[in-house]
Parts: sequence; C-alpha cells; structure tokens
Amino acid sequence: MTDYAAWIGRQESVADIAATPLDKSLPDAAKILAVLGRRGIAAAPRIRFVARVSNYNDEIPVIADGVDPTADRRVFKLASAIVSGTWLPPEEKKSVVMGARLAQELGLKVGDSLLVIAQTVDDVTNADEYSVVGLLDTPAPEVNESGLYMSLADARALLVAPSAPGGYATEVDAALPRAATLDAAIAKGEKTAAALRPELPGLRVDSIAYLARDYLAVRDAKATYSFVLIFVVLVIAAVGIVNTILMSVYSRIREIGVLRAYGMTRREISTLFTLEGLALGAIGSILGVALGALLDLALIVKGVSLAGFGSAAGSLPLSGVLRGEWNPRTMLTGFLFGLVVALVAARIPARQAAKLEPTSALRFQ
Amino acid sequence: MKRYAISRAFGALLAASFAALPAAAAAAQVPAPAPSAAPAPSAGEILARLDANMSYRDIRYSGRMEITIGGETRYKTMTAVARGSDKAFAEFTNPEDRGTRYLKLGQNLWIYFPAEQDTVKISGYLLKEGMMGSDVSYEDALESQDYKAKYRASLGGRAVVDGRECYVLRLDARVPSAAYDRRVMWVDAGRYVVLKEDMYAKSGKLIKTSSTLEVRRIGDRWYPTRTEFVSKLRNDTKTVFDMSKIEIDVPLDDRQFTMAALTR
Repeated sequence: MTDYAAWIGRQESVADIAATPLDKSLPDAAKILAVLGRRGIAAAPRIRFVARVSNYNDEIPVIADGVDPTADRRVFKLASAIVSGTWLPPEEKKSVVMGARLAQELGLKVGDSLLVIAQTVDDVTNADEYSVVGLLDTPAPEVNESGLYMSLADARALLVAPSAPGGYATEVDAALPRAATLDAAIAKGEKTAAALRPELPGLRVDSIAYLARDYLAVRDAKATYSFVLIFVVLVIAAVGIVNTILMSVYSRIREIGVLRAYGMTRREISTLFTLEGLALGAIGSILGVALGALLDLALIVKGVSLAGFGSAAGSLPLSGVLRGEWNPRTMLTGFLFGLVVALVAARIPARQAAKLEPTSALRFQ
Repeated sequence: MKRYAISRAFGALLAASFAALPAAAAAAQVPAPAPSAAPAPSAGEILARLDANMSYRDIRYSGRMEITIGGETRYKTMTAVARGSDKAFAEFTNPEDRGTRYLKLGQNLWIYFPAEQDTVKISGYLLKEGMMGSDVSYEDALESQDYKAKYRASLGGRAVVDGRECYVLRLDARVPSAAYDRRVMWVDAGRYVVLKEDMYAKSGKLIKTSSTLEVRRIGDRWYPTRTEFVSKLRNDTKTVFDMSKIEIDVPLDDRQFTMAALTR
C-alpha cells in the first residue's frame, strides 16, 4: 500500500494548469522515472488533457488521463475502485475506464463504445471510438462524474503527441509506502519533494501537502470547529460526572459523621470517598470507551453512505461511504478524562465532608 | 494589394462570424456544363484555382445560420465584415442574440454580451467548441484558408455532384496545425468551387461533411452562398449557413476591428 506523495511537471504548466497545456510536456520523462526509481519511489507517467466524451447524442466535457496501466496501479488506487468490468488491460488498445456516474449520464455500460473528442498537441480536433472496459466509483466525485482513463499509447495517438525521451507525458506522479497517519504521510511527502528538487532542475515538484492544500485547509478549519464541539461535550460530561459524585458524597455526609464517630480519621474518610469516585470514574470511562469503540467499529466496517445526505453532500468534495478509523490516542484521552474528572469531583467534597465535626455531619440535612 | 483565401470552415463559421464561405454548390440558377473531354488539370492547379477563386481582401455580408439539433431548429442572423483571415467583426441581429458581437484579431476572439455589458475572451480549447451551438467551431474561424500552404493535393478522379462534373481532390495535411488531417473535396470542374467535402480527423474518423446548396455569381467569380455542415460526431445535427448582400473587396474602416467597436 502506498500514499500519493508528489507531482512532478513543467514549471510553466502550473500557471496554466486548468487549460492542461499539452505544449508544456515533460522534456524527459524517462530521466524523472530513473531518478525516482533510484530512490525506490513508485512513480507513473501521465498525460492529462481536456476531452469531450459522447454517445453521439449527448456530449460531456471531461478531464482525461493517459496512464501506464501497470505503473499507475502502484501510485493510484483507481484499479481497486472498479465497480464494473476491469482496470485497463495493458495489452488491449482503444479501451477506456470511466467514472460510473459519467457512464450513467451517457447511458453507457461496460462493453459499449464511447466517442472521445480532443484537441491534439497542435490544437487540431481529433476523435476516435473506444471500448468501455471498466467503471469507477471512488470517494472523489470529480472522478466519478468526469474521470476518463486510457492507456498512454492511446492518449498519445489521440493527441498526436510528438516523440520524447521516455515517451510524451505531461506529469509524473509519485507515491511512498503507506504512512501510519495522514500527518506522517504529509511530512514524508514534503521531505521527499524537497530531496527531489535539486535532482530535477527546471522541473516543479509539488508535494501532497501543496496539492491537497485546499483539503488540508478545510481539515484544519474542521479541526478547530471540532475542538469547540468536543470541548462543549466534555464540559457537559464533566458536569454530569461531578453531579453524580457530589450527589453520592453529599447524600452520605451523615454516614461520614458516623464513621468519624467510630474513630476514622479525616484522611481515611477522604481517601475512602476519593477511591469510590475513582472507581466510579474508571467503570464509567471503561463502559464509555467500550461503547464508543463499538460505534467506531460499525463506522469502520460499514461506514455511513453519503448518498443518503442527498444535496447536502453535494457541497462536500466527497462521495461514497464515510468511514471511521481506530484512534487509540483519542480513546485513551477519553478514558483519562473521565477518570480525572471523577477523581477531582470526588476529592473536593470528600475533603470538605471529612473536615466536618461528627456532630455537624450527623445533623447534616 | 494582398489577397487572402477564404476557408470553407471559416466562412461557415463566419456564419458565425467572419469571412466568406468556401465551397460552392450546384446552384439552381446555373446550368450544368457538358462533361469536358479535355484532360484534367493537375491537383496543384485545381487547388491554386480554388484558392484564387475563394480569395479576397475585404468582405461584407449578412449571414444566417439555421442550427438544427434533434429536430429543433434555431436561427441566428448577423452582419459581418472581415479582412483576410486575421480580422473579423460580426454582430448578431436575431432577437435572442441581438447586439452580441464577435471580434477576431489574429488568434484572439472576444465576445461582447450586451445584456451584461461584458466582454469575454475565448482562447485555448474553448475555441474548438461549436460556435453559438452550431456545428462550426471557433477554431474553424481562425484557420488560414490557404489550402496550398497546409495541404498536399492529389487527384482522385472525376465524379458528378448534383448534375455537375467535379474533380475529386484529396488533401492531406502537410503541417500538423492543419484543421483536418484529410479532406476530400468535390470541386466543380467549371466554376472551381467546392460542392461537397468530407473532413477527416487524424484517427481516420470522418468528423464533418459539407454540401454547397447554392452558388451565385459575385462580380467576376462564382461564390458559394448557402452551405450545409453536418457534424459526424453528433446525431441529428446540422447547420446551414446562408450569405447574402455579399460585397467583396469593398473599402472597410480599420476602426471596425477594434475593441472600441466591440463595446460601443
């Protein structure tokens, strides 16, 4: 398993990236692949271009990618997102894989023919028919709605691409072995990109942190929002715990008076109630974490389909199924929080109660 | 005075806008000549005469597009002026688009929308889209119509189209920027206008055809004034482009080809 790590392309193409400038292709894709290969980094060349797909009745603009069917699998996870048919067979010409929703829009299924129209490198219209061999359903709506993938050979023929060392390509994408967390993957990507730049002079190397900056900004904003939300939840939980413990202590102040009358010291009484609070906190926290883990397990195994959110999910750059992940740190934090709040909530009234004179405690209403 | 060739597509396009229409048609008002027993000129000579017949310096005309998609027909009308293949100005006059103006200067095209009082520049792949929903792309309008410069011609024999004897001319692109990789033209043997044309992409796929529906005498030349374009990339679509009130090589004011004229 790998994580997408970096994009390598021509510096000049970035300013005009939305127009997918075919005249700004890589000068030597073979050299880039060799540099990445020496570092043991999985890499795949691609040709990204604007095209229109048609069933001869309806025409839809798409962003198409010419890919190396074998190498691409080592960098991207598209092959595992096929919901019908197969990924691009390396030996089969004039075949395409497309987003399932795009195929649905055009009324196409696996085995049907698709007309692809594109401008060549020289800005001349070219068109050809391709057989649909696979449909994709990924968490990225743009892939499902306007993703089109064909082999590099087919893309070069359609675009009438000139020959180039290593073959005509507009970008090389790189992946690193899967990191434990997203933050670790970002850090590794940054480090790798920084190391590659001196080795690839004149080229632009963008790490995943830069490429996914919009997503990461949304994630950071969400983290702030989540913090506020979690803080409020914790306060409510803390109030509940404190209330439970206080009720437990104050309802037994007369018992404290009895215990004091029998000769227990203040320290012993304080310790007794503190231990009781601690035990309650530990049991509550264990049950809470266990219940939370069960819910998390359901989220991880089954997930929540965003399809049920209808148009509300339309504004999110997400589709498919939203899944949970195991986060032992959060679970431990929750457990300790319950324990500490219970301890503090028990300790304060227990000490106050222990300070009472036995006669006062016995008269306590 | 320098003269320019008019491209078929450009003209059509003009439809959308600018230059003049290239192909000529078997016109009802012109009797068909008797088949000639004379030896056919070479492909190069036919192409040269075609280029010469379709060339102009300045042109002014009124245009009308009939765009038929899925059985529904829309009409666009315009007035247009053009200088060579580099400068063109068109203003739409049909009620839905009244006041919409196009200005083409070299490889740049601007569209002015009167309702929004806004100007949009068309460039890149957008120039390949169908103009005003027609089967003619902006790209066609930008193509130089100098066939000889962009295509190598070979003669494929003779045929009769609409009762008129034609030379079948095959043009193969000699430069990668040629709008089509291959064109097959049926050139009227007597008037040197294109009566029918098939246009092929690099893949070998037929992507567009045209048929000239009417040819008129304009000054000392025969000129196609009504042409039908059919896209082979969409079902049930065609665009018929009509030209009327054609004036060729009339003096035009340079100020017509300025941004000030576009947004006046």
